[in-house]
Amino acid sequence: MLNKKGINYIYVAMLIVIVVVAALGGYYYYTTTLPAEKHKIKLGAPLGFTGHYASVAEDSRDAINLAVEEINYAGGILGHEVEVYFDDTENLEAGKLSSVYTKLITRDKVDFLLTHFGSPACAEYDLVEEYGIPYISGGFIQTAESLIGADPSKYPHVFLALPSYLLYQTEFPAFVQKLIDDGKWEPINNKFCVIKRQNDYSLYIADGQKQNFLEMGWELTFEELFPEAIVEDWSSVLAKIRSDPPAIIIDTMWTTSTDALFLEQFLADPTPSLIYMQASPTYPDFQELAGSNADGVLHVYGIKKVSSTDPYIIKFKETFGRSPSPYGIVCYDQVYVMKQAMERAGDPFDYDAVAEALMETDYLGVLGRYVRDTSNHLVKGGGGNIPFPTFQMWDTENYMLYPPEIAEREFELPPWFP
Amino acid sequence: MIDPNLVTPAIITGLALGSMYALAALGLTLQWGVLKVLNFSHGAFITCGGYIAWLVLGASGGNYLAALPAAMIIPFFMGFVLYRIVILPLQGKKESETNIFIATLATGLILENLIIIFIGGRYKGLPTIVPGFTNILGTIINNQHILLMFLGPLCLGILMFFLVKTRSGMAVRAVAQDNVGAAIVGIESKKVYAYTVAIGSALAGFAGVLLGAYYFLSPTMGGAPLVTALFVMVLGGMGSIKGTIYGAYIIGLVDAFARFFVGAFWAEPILFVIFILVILFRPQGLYGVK
Repeated sequence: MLNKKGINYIYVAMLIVIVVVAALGGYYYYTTTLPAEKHKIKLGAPLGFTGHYASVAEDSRDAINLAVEEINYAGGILGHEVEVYFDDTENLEAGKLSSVYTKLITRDKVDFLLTHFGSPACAEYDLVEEYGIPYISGGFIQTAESLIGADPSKYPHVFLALPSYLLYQTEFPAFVQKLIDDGKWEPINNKFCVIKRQNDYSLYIADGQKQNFLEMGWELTFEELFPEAIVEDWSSVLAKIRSDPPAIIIDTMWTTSTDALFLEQFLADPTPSLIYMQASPTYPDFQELAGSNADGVLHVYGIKKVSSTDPYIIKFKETFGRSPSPYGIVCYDQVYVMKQAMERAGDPFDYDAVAEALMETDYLGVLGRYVRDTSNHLVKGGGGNIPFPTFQMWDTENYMLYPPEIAEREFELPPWFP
Repeated sequence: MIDPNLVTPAIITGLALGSMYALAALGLTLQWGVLKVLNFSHGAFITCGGYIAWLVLGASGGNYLAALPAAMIIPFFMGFVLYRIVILPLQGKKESETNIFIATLATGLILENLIIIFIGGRYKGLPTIVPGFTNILGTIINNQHILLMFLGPLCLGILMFFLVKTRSGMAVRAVAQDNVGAAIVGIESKKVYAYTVAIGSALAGFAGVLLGAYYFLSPTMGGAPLVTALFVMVLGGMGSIKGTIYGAYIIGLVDAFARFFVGAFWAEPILFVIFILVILFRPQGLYGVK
């Protein structure tokens, strides 16, 4: 029989065994699991999942996930797995963006930020710089260009995925002139009208095109400025169009539901006018909402159409059962731009080194060659870089009309022309 | 310079907008008139109506005869739940007005987010109830708009009939005027409140279908009608059905004339100026009680 002292020894021995086993287990866990967990690269992806940009956000999310899956399958970036943190920036209001970005940076502690669109006023740039997180944004290039171009050293961590929007101001007027010169379109007069909204992107493109058309000798019948993205009734604008029909209607409202509604109401009693719509025709939900109403609508877009035989398009369709939007492709490419920069930096968590490597971006992606313009942190457009084609929509598909080397079909008069 | 060719289209557009605003404001006015609470989930109920119709239309092969009742009946029962769970526990308590405002606002956000989670954030289109366009005095107008122009006043008329000519409606008015007195004559005020919130919610659902068929559905589509409904209520007089009618058409016409002759950019600022003037000089609105 053991006495009380003997029992105590057994208890102590058992306790020592438990402590040693727990310590060994903890050490094993720490050495095998924790470092890998600890060193995952956290990619923050704030996207507008609800509101005007929802369809774009869905595509961007899927494209980012696709790229991250491929990268992780191939061994990650410098051996580190990539993990994505998505969050909803809704309709891109500055306040919402600020809270989402702050949460991603301070709570989720992301190592890199990537989005299809940031704030129209680039309000998040200062926040990103405050924490020194490398950041790539795909939208509102005109504001970014003027902001960063004025002092690139102020935004060493902020980069853009697309080229300058200056071509949005010049390409369509040049295309119209070419149509007239080639005898493919005879305008009813030399008048045009402009519909725009109180937003940097919309105003930049509308005012630039207006200026170019005026310089080409065209006459402005009216211009309508809307305070909001959503227009629920087009009666007032359509009454003005019908009372003095212009040969060209330039609409830079850039909201899918608003533009689809415009076409629906315009087609009730159409005028023989060419319709230019900024960006909306590239959105998947516009194609769903407008359907055949959008046949013949023209637009210029800073992203070329990718062939349906491209491996990325095939893979995206196989994975998600639908075609990707251009915005998704930009995000897909930018995940690889991030990878290239992190590999060049040699350490994905050295944010300054990653930002310096981003400055030297030269990456051949699905959309074209991304070469950094160090004067404003955009990528270079035109030439062998990212093209700016003119499109026309038919049967919910966008077809490239211009430039000739990538044209898919000839311009045709829209079906509402007599 | 006013273009005389645009006056008729402006009037027709104003009347159509007025009908839309009246539809959006109807349920809210009723609820304020009886319960004296501002139900800030009203916009979300408008949204729910649209989405319920979208789901039923999808399941029934585009049958509006199934979708329209469903879009009213389901919000009707949701209204009961709203009253029972959100409003009743706060009613009559300290700071109840503010608390109910916050609680209903939160309910609206929850409903919107449930739509986002289960249906998604993309715009959805409802098939047109009455397709085509009609030329009225040289103005091309969407038949859907014409339907709204008829249904707005019709709904107001039915509601007025219900309130004035039926026993249930009289009970609602009795509780709205004096709930203690109503209780003395045997009217259960809580039951009346619950039915009022439910009817208001059903009206919101109805408005959601009509607005959704005219525009497009999105989880936040109820926000704009809610703001307009508040405008209409303040101008017409909080809780006054008659005031809602006048308020809606005045705002509709002012909105349309501003868009036609001043520019779309100035329509909202002009409405806000009117809103401020009403609050300053006639805070009870056109038909409200001081």
